[in-house]
Amino acid sequence: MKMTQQTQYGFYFDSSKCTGCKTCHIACKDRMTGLVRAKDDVMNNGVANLPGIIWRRVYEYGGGNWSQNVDGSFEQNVFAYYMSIGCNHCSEPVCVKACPTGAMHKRREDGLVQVATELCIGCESCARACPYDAPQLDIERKVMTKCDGCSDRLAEGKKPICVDSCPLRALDFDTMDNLRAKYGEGDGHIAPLPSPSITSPNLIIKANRNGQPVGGSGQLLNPAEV
Amino acid sequence: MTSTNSANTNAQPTFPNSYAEAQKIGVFRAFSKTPVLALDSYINGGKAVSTPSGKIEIYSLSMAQKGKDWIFNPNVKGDYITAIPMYQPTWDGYEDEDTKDDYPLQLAGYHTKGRTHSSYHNVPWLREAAEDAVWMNPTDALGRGLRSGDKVQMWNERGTVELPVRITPRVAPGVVALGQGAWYQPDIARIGRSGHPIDVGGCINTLTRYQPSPLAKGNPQHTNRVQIVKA
Ligand code: SF4
Ligand code: SF4
Ligand code: SF4
Repeated sequence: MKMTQQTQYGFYFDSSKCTGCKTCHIACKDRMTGLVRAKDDVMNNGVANLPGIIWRRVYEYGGGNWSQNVDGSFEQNVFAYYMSIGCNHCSEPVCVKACPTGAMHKRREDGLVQVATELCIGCESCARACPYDAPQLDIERKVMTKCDGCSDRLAEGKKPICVDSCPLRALDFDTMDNLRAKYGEGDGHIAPLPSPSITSPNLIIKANRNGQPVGGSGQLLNPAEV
Repeated sequence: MTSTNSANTNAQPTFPNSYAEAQKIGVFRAFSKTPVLALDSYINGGKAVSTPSGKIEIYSLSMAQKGKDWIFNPNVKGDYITAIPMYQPTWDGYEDEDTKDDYPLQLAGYHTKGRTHSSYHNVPWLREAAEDAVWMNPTDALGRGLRSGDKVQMWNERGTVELPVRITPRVAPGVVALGQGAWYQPDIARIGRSGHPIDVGGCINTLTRYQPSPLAKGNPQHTNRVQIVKA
């Protein structure tokens, strides 16, 4: 019998609320460190830094210009907003397609895209394919890691830690059916996100009032932080 | 526990008994029943305010007195107190002729989300999440040939710091901004243009001046002129 996917989980993100505080980024990293470095001797060695592995990234996007008047004063139309992005557990996951070993896979039961670590050879094909930069290589273990949708917390009836940690309540996570019932289709994706046509991401966005169309005239202002 | 703390006995709404209860309540809001009016007792109650005249003063008698009695340093530009609020050109200010050629940029400090003052600066996750870079407008970066992420040296006569630059329209031309609280880390093997060891920790206090402000005698943390070049 052919199995069909019953449930598809996804995220909701409200860019009009997000202040870019990065609590989600840190909360995710805290849980992730427990998962991938649980056996570390924390009392003696401290908590692992895991440099460069960021499952939830907060992008600062902005633009606009300054011009000077003859009297020396300035005019400006500067804008900026934040986008907090993990993995969108896409319906057309190009990461899965790109993976040569089948390590990157989409779960039938809930649509979450995860890495089967024992199959991963660390070739980074998924990371190159994903337009959201979701797969993050663990250089020490030479395996790919990424947002797993906090599936352990879901099993306990909780929401992901990024969602629960957000002081501005800018994030939500649920089945896409429930999210659509609650938020509708949202405002469509805005920069710096790529066109949703590439991977059919399960991500509903409420746009910031300065939200720029995909490929807009602004730029990523915090490349070192994502 | 919060709910049994005597200071909270009369709190409205009542404090939760447990963390689980607090989580169920969610956001804890307290609304004041009456609108709060500043200087209500003066405006509606006919009581005096605590000025020498008992009235709201535009010309402040107490400031006039302080300006006359206190000792100021005539060599410190802007070290005086006036009875009427006014703009005071100051040392290292926008109009300071003495420093504007050597140090054309004004440096302001701000509270970064990456730590609380200097606390938690040593947490590597936070250093990764919030880059300690000096913010600079694209017009100022252009003349200096700088790109985001370049390492720069920023100095004035008080010290030299070395850190990355972030080019962003979110700061005005002629102004640069640095999150305060990073830990001082002198590289004693290298002397900067200021004649001091280069602070590779990027601590803003390396560049600030220990010169109490005229009235509050506070730190003039945001009064700094600097120059920046690619390191
Ligand atoms: S966001 Fe990237 S890693 Fe996640 S499912 Fe989509 S393509 Fe794959
Ligand atoms: S769902 Fe979990 S793993 Fe994914 S970004 Fe949120 S906290 Fe991180
Ligand atoms: S915790 Fe919330 S407000 Fe803070 S950066 Fe993340 S999504 Fe934005």
